[in-house]
Amino acid sequence: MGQQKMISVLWLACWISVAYSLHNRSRIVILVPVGEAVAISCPLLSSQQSNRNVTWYRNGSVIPLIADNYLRIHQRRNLLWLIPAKIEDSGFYECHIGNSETDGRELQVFENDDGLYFNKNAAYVQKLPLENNGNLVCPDLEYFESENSSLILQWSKAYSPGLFEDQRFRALEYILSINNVNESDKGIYVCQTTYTYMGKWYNVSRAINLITYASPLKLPQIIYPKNNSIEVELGSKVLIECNASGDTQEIFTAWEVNGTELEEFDDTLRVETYSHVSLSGKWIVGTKFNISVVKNKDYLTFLCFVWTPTFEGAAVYIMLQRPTKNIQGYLIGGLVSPILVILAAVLTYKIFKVDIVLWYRQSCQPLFRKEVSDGKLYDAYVVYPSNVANCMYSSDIFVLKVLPEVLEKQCGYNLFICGRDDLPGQAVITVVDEAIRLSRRVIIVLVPDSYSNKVQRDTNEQQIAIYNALIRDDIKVILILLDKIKDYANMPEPIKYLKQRHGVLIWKGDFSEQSQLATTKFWKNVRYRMPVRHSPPSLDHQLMPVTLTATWISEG
Amino acid sequence: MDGDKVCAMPGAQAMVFRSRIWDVNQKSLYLQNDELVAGYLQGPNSALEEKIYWIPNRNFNREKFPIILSIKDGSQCLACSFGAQPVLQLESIRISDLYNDSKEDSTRFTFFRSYKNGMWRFESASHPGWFLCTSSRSNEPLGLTQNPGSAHVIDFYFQLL
Repeated sequence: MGQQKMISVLWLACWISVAYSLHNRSRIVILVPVGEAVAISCPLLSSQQSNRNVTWYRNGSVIPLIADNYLRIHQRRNLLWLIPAKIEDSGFYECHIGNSETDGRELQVFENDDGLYFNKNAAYVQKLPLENNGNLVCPDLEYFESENSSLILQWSKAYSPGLFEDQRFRALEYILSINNVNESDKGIYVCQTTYTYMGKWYNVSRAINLITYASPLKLPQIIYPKNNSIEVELGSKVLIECNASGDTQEIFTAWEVNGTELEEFDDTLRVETYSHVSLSGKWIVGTKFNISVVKNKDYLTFLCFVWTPTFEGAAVYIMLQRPTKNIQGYLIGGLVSPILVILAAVLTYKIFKVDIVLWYRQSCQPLFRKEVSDGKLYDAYVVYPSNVANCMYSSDIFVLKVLPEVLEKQCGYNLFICGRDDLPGQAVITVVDEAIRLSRRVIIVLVPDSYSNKVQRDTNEQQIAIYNALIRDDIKVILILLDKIKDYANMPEPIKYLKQRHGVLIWKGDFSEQSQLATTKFWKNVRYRMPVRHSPPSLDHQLMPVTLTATWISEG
Repeated sequence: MDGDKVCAMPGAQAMVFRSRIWDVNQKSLYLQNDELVAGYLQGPNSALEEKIYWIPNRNFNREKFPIILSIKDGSQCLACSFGAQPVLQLESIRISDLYNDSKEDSTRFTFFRSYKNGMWRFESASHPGWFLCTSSRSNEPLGLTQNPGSAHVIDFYFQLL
């Protein structure tokens, strides 16, 4: 028994060495377990040439193996049959076609592994990808098939009794189908059938070594680009990269523009591919190129293709764009900010118009002084409702005290006030007409109550003054209303017209010293409407702080 | 880069990939009388299996996965013969020389790969509708067919080595 085993091992070693020497000669070796039926075809014949006559010889023998079906070794249908094969049958068998064509087959009859019904070294390797359905095929049975059309196969797996308890396995003719192949399915499978010849049954078996491998459909992850755009300055340098990660190194990346490979599209660009293993153990594969000086023609969409031998691939793009931010910046800077500046200026002017004009007049006073005289004597002609009722009305105080105090004393204007500056006995019409002609402004002081109560009678000079103001375009009117008026409807029509044309200033002050400062809002508005002073004194003190002004006033 | 997996061919920028191809019936490719045939390789015979050396063909839209196939370290390329009924031929031309060839010159060496359920098909670029096929019988030459079915097997496993 032990000797037999040793012989078996020696045989096996011998076969393998023969097989390798045959490999160098590119010969197929037929391996068959001892006691089984085997049929050997001549390599010179393809199945289409079965009508040609083949003669078989053994190991250089000149005696052909004859077509006697009763012999254990015989020739039938151009095939060499050994039914059954014995250990001593191992060797080279020549087949001759005609006189010139000669080829042959190496036959090795082996014993199964100790205590097993197969020999691992004689197994057919079959491979299936994991996580897919696949088939194992019981190979090289066609010669038996034609003899015995309904071959019944039995499948088994080494060391795994009850193979078909697993519903994933199903046998169909020569096929063992496996659903959802997993790693535990690898190993030796044996398919077995019987061949009946001359009334006897002979075993025919094939061992299959199933090797599983990782399912090829592992998608690589594209890291960059992400269908994005980048902004690059004209003339700048840019590095554009495309990369992906995956379980294998076999990830392909390539750049394209308009369906053309990048280097073909632009022969100034050099594409460089790289790959390395990341810290997480994944392969990183990528391709990159440099644009050393970005030109107008480079503002393009670059397409990066990522694929693997088993993944049909994906395309991602990156777009090179001119820096739009700066253009926006210019737009804001060039259009929006001037508008804002103008708006601010207009607003400022609206709010501080009076102060600005007054400041301007004061700072440029020397210029005005040099102006040629316009032939006027008075800066303003003052009209007011005198002779009202029987008392000294507030309008008299305002006109005869406050107005001269501020405009004449503080601001240096020269006023003509009816009832102060006219000489008694003069014809009213002459005086008024002459005085207005010599005045640059007409100040009309109105007392609202007098209108609403209809007690105010227009005096002659007031009528003449208003008439003058209406007909003469060259004279400006300053309407001053003492206290707010609620209803302008009762106003005489000329007054309504003048109000609409020149606006109205409302005096809300009392007759305190505070209300008589030229720097209050009301007086600034009056001064704004007054002409530029032609006669000094200096107004420096008016722009001094109120306390100083007050001091000056008290001194005055 | 693992030189065993990807061989850089001298004089070409192409990276030549090495793969194993076998059909859905587990038949491997080997040479028999200078013909590429598909059959079952038992035990030590598996060393006779012809590995496929291939490169992508840049002249075609890469979305169709155009590849040029060769054996014997890229020295013999698979080609479709001219004519309406193409025949698969082995031509002694280096695959790396085809890499820089024009589209016209490389078309008959080109196959479009398509993938489904773990298996690949290889459609001739010069003869659309014609696929690489094996016979349902073993030890018969690799060929081309436009009538896939049980007699002409066009589904292959394609494993990068």
